[in-house]
Amino acid sequence: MKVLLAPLLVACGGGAERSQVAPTTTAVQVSPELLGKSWQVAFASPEAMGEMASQAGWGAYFKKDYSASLPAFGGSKLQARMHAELSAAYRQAALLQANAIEQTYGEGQAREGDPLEAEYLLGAARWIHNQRELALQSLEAVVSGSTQVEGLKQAAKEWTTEGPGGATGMNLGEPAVGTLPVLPADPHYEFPEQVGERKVEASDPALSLHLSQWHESAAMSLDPTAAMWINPWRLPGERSSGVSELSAEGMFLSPWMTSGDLEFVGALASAEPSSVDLATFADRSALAQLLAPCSGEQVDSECVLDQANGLHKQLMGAMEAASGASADHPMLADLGRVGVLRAGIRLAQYQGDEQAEGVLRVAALDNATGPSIDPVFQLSMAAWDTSNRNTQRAQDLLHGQRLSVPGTDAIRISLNALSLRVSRDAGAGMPMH
Amino acid sequence: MGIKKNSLLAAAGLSAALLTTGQSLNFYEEALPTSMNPLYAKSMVDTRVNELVFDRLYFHSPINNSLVSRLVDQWQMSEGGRAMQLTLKSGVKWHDGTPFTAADVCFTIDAMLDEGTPSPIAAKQREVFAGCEVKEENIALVRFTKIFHNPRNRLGFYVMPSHSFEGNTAISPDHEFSNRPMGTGPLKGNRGRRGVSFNAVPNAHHQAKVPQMSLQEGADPLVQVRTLQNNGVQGIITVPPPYRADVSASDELSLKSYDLRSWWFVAVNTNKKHLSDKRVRQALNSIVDRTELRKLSIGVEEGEQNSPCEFISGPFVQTSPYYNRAVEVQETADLDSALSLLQAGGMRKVGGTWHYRGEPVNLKIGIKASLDVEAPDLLSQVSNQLGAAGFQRQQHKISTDEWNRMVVTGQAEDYDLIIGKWSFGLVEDVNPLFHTRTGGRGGLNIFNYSSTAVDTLLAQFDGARTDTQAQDAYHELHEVLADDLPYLFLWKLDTKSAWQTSVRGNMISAYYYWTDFDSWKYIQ
Repeated sequence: MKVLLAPLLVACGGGAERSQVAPTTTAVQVSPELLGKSWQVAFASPEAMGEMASQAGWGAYFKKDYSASLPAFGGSKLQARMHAELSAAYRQAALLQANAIEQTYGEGQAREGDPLEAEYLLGAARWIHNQRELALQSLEAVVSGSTQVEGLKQAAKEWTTEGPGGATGMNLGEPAVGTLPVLPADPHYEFPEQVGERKVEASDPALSLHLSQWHESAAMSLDPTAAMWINPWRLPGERSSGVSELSAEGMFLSPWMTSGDLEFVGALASAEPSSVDLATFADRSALAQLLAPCSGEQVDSECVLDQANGLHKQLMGAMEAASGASADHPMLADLGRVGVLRAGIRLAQYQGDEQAEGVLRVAALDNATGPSIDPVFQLSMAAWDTSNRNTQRAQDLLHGQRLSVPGTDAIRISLNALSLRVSRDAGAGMPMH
Repeated sequence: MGIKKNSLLAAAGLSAALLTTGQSLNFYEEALPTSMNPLYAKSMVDTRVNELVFDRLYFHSPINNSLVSRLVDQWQMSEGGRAMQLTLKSGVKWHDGTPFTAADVCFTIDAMLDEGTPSPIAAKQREVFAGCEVKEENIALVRFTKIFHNPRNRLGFYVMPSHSFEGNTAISPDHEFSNRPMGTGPLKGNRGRRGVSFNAVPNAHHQAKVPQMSLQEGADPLVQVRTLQNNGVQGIITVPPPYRADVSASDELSLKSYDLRSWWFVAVNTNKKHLSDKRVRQALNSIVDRTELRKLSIGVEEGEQNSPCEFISGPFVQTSPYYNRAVEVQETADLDSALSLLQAGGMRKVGGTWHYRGEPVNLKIGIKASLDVEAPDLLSQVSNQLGAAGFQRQQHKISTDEWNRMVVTGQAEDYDLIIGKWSFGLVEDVNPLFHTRTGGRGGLNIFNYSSTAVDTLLAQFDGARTDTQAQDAYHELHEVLADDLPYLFLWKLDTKSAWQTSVRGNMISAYYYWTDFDSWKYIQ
């Protein structure tokens, strides 16, 4: 990590000493300038909030109902943001499926009776994981085992170095702004097991990639700067797109207070190790300011929690100051708090601190309520859990997004296969009351 | 549903004064543990207490789910994959200072294999373990009944001390150990009449930062929440949904998710003559208006998104791979359908009351008392709906003791309907609930339900060679049970805990809760 915000490196407790019991204290407050630029403060007055709340698009987005918010934001940059968020969500869905397939059929996990066509699924999973050579090997190794094999071979051929082709039977049509594509029926495949006469249901992770691309194209056709919303969630090996300044309205109901925060989180997500200097973001990202004292050799998760709670209080005060005592929007401040935790996750990932990452992930989940339950983060958490074979929480998280992200039933099929394997490996268990 | 006023509020201050002493971390549990012997755990309270007092040989990290051990230093497979040699960590001691050795690991396995240990948990483990041999003081060779994939996953049992039982592997549930257990876990526990006190025991593998804990039985949820707000206790294990907003609103409290697969049911006594015809049970299923019940007892409005309470149509939560999505949920009442089913099932309505063979039907309905805290008035609401449909009823709250002695042992035959909840971890084995009580099977079959078709499907699940075969068996079981209705399946209800923000590092693990207790801190 390069030089951090040295003047702000005051007692935030802990640091590398994880076992230290001493209480952590909130050390840093966001500068008044940055706080004033936050969307929370910009819309704190009853009039401004009333204006936003009266718009059908925001009403739908508050409930994360993209099917209603997409058309309601007709032709605007906000519509582009909706498409971009769905694109990010499907990227995380693809990652979830890839993790599930690798953990089900990958090295050391194969079982008696697994279908021969699992090789195709592994190929797709490895492609998503940016293991291109391995992916091509798996795709070329797809052997005959069922009547669907020809279709799979065709699909495999279309997975070239340029990316997934138009997987068989999954033509989503040309991207159409303000709409959702019609999804193919699931399960996409039924593969015969090599034991007995049963068939294994399977869903193709290529569909999630196609959906991600479909929404990205729709978003880009409306507003190229919408790529900023995808940057924090890109798949392994993907490059981030450019950044620009987004308005307070453009950031409304986001966990990021300003577009500087979004840029900062996107940079952490896609940067090479040691290439991000938090200090360079301090003038435009409140999150960079808040996290600086929590970052040392490791990330002090308790410090991040304190900073998140401190920001909540600071935002409440700033909203009140900006608009008079009538501004009482704890839900907006909640989004700020969750933003700190989620940025802390990114920082821990960036620094390779798995322990802090896990602690902050759970904290971010626990603190998310109402509009701060973000489908993209929930799916990313499910993908992370799946990579850890923690299927129980992953299933809950995925199920919770079934109304926001169309197609979760297909994604669930990949996760179910892993869940069955994990639970049958788990040994004896009794119902408890 | 708003939070009701309660005269017991005044007691909250008193509780606070009584409970806050020294550096003790105090919390409300759903009930007192029934046994602190891991082999005789019956409830989730028992399981959670075990996690504080004992160590499992292997467990999953609540942070990243990795399979780890505090007791095993090294492992290696042997005997062609049918055995595993475990080298134990040095310096680990039991709470009385006795060294932990390979003899304790083998004693625990031998105790589970001993038919003289009448433990349902042990009976399940007999399908996994074939034996255990002490190779050296710190080396044990564990033998399995067959070759398992990822065999360390099978080693998730709690290790018990040989010396507490003087090596006698036939362990009785009435042994003093059940009240005053001896473990290697972070805390030593003593059960009193009104709670359990815990004291930290420093060890080579545990360094708890909370020196003392006190478990109290929670009663009125409003009192629990108010006591928490007053810092009379620092935590509540289960916060009912109607009280969660109150907790969330406070900067001093935090709600925390507790991942548990729990579903609620009304068990139906199929051996009662008036309930033996499945059409009558189907009629009851149509009379129960789940949407209204959920609104009145859990506080969930119709159409509410991200509800903590989701209806089910069979013995699995909707997120389970075993849940059969083709079986529809009965969300609201269908009284017309119920009427014709009752008549077809031999019921006659006389003077507004249903009669069977000339006698009025009087349904004796019970609920496990601790559940009345989590879903207030559910018993009354179910009873009201049945009453409105024309049934006479009697309502009873069943104590934990009666539940353990009579209900789960299949001896509560005088009841017609019993409201309950089952919780599961990763393993969703419902065979003990629905298999005919015979040969050790059906050990939790409340009303001794028996169906050849169900038994066949349960056997298919047990004998499944592949994951798909197991899934198919349970999908079909779901369909059969939703038709035959030994239970009226209600809902899955998620679980949330509340803790003071002065309690830090409090990672809650799925199912076991306290797995990472060494990281918990209480900053007064």
